[in-house]
Amino acid sequence: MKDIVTKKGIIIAAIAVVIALVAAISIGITSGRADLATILSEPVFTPVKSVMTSVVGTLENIYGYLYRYDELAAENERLRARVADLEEQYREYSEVSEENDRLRELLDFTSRHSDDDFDLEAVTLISWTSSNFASSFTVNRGENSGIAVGNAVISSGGYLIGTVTSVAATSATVTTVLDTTMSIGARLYSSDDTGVVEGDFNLFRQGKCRLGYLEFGSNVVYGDLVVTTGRGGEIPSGLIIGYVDSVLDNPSGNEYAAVVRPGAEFSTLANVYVIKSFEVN
Amino acid sequence: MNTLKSKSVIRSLAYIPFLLMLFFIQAAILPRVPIFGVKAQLLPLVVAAAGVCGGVISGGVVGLFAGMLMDISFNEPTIVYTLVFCFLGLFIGYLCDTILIKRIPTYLLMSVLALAVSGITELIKAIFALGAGVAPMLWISLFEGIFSFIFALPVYLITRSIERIE
Repeated sequence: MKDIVTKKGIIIAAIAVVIALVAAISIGITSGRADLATILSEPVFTPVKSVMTSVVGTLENIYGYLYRYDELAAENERLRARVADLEEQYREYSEVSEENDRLRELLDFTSRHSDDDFDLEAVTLISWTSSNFASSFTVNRGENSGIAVGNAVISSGGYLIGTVTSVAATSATVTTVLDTTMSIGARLYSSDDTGVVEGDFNLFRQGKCRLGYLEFGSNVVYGDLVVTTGRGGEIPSGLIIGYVDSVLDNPSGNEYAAVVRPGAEFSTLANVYVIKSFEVN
Repeated sequence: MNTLKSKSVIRSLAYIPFLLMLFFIQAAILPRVPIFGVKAQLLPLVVAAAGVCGGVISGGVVGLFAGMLMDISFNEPTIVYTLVFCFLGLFIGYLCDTILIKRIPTYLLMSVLALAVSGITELIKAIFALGAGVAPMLWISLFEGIFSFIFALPVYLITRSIERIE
């Protein structure tokens, strides 16, 4: 009996296994979802795999931190270098762009004044005076380049800066309109009222000068253009000196005066033009 | 005698780059960074320092060259500062050789004197040349002196090092 049970049991068990296998295979084939090995191993290995994946992931992170640190640092360094390179390119671009603007301005200036028959000499500013009572600078061209005392000096924007007050063979001193020794015939562009632009100690340090000797009743307006009259023949007429910044209170009772803000930006001057000769219209 | 000569030569050679450096700073850098529209003057300080540290000879010689550089830095073809600084250097050197002790307080006092002389010289030039009012110019001179005085100590320390060259 014992033998029979045992044999029967084995047979039944074997049949059950075969049926289960067939059923499993048939399910797998019909649904197309998994193969037999997967089906058989899934209940056992999935949790194990999950744990293993988690452990491996953690180990991989640690490995990455430990062994890829140098690689990341090197990459970081490469990216930093790239950023620096791009920044440098941007700076160069900005400089080129500014130079381009300046050259356009120059070109525009030259074309605007081509009819005036100005004989211009481009000069470079060497140094400003150290004196606190004067406003002058030295330029790198002089007598050898045809520059003479009295020549007007203008900025690339066409604004009057001053005149040449002393000249050597290869250098010249330019005294600006702010200097208290300067005195230039000027007129208000809108009203044609004439006066004299001169340096003033009280305005000197503010970078401004004074338009005096305007007739009583002159129409002085804030922002009005102040241009040269050209009287005397040394400075061409119509050069812009600056703009009316404010009107001074009636200084002497029978004349008007105004504060003039020069058109040229003196603190950033680098290249200027000396008008060596011009046609008087 | 030869040692004395060689020391003088070495000091003179050391003064040349120092004076040129001060000139460069005064003429090229400080005019670009005015404070309240006023520029500092360094060359009067070196005259005072040379007079205090080196005595009458150093004061006179350094004063002469510093004055020349001052005239150049003013873009003016005059020799006013050449003469004024030379006499100033001789005077300070003489005082320090005879009456005063060669120490920092003496130098500070002498640098104030040098800056005052420099400012007054400029003031007199302006009054005679321009006929301008004194009041606004006095303020400019005062600011100039105060601003310049900031540089007194570094100028003194370098000058003293030059004078101590063995």
